[in-house]
Amino acid sequence: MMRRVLVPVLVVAIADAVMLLSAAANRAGQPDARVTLTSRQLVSAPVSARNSARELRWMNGVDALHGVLFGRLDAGTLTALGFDSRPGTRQLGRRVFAALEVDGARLQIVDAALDAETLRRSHPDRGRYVVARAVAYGDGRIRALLPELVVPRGFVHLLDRPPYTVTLAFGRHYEPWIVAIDPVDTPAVRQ
Amino acid sequence: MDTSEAQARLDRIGAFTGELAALERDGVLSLDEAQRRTLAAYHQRLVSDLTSHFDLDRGEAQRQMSLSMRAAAIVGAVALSASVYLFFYRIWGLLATSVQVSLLIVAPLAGVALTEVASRFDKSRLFVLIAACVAFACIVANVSMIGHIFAMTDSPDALLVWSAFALAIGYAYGLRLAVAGGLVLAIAFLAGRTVAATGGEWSQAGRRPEVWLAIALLLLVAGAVRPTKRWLFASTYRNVGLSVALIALWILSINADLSALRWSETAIKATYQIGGFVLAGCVIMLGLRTDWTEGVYLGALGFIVLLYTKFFQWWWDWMPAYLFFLIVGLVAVGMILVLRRVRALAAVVA
Repeated sequence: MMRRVLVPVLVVAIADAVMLLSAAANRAGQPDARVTLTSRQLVSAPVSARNSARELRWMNGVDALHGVLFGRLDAGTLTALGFDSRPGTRQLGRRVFAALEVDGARLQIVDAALDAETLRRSHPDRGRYVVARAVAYGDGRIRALLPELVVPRGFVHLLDRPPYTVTLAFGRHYEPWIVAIDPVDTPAVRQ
Repeated sequence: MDTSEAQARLDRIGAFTGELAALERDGVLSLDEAQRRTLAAYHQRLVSDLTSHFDLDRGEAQRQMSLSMRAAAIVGAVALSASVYLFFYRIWGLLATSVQVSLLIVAPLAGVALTEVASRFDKSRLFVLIAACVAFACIVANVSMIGHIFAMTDSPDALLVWSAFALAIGYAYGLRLAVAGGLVLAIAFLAGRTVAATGGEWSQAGRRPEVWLAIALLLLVAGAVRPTKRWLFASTYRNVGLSVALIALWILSINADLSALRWSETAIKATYQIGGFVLAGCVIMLGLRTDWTEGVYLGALGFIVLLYTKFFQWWWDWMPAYLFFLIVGLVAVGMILVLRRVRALAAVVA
């Protein structure tokens, strides 16, 4: 009996330990970036009877399609990312790092590189530029890998009373988490 | 001895008893009373031993019922797995993050315990299959939802976890379906890792069929070179490897844009069409020689799909539709005639 259950139990234990340690490592120490976004940039996803969680979805006007943040890259950046510029080459997308600029109501991809450190050196303002993982394509498109954010229970009641601001931190692994949601014109709620 | 071997022995005993009765009725053979009693006692002891260890079918009616029960078990397993997954989604918003994570960790462990309990009481192993599928749904929910809660970046490593879990459960409880699922996930993981290692985006590994073709062929060879009797899942390795390899060859034979080769479109399509026909033909021959029934079926299916795809590409655009289907029908009739001849030759060799 022990021999039968041991391996699947070990698989669960190792997988969960790795994921939770990774999440903890991401949030340990000083975050790579800390930015405040508005309820126009991070909108509350539609509430569903089948999914009781409340989630925030990335939106940015014309650049956002179904909550996915797209941008465009110039030919020079594409070459720097390792794309072959010759016509007719059958290339897959490449996983890269993107710099997103948070400027007032705007949230857009402004730069990309293979190395996050290089990108951060080019955009050192950690309150204005976010470094996040992205997928670049040979035709110049780039898609930020920013998932929908699950809202902790303590903030959920604020989502039904927009406008609000969302303070996000991006950790060592360039993965975001919600630090605070503050209703506009009312005292802040912090976790 | 596994269930299929026990079932085969029970079937042989039934066939032997029936044939012996027919021979005695026709006066060809007659056992004396002592021999008859010895034989009957031996068979009775053997049948009792086999049926006490395995859930076996005694006759065609029971066999049909077993097939129906297996189909119901698969439907039940899928439905219960979906139910568990959707239940998490229904309730997780009501829970604090620490409770969400705790529940997600405990769920697959409870699934493993349920599978172990089912294996102790269920000789038919249908409930073991259902419990294993529920456990698998729990590990899928575990990895995907913990990743979602902490906004973690996607990676092919999730496929590795699911593959390892499915293989572990499949090997522990002798479940071919779980092993087959684990192998498919392992192919997806290795393809994703290979594409990522070459600078590509891992989630686009589906757009590089050559990568999974190579892995599938390795799996096929691994299943073919190991002796079947000592390795319970050798045929599962062969069937999964062959299926994935044929699908990859078929896709590459119709869409050269997915190839990593820097050849012309015509050269790529022609290469993989020929590759597909050669693989299907070799597998049919190998299957006939080694009693690998699934190999013969899969090879024949692959051959037919490749052939009719080629017909469609050659003729559909310019040929009248009635003539196209006439040719397709005549080819099918021709294949029946060829296969009948092969069947007759096989009977002579046997």
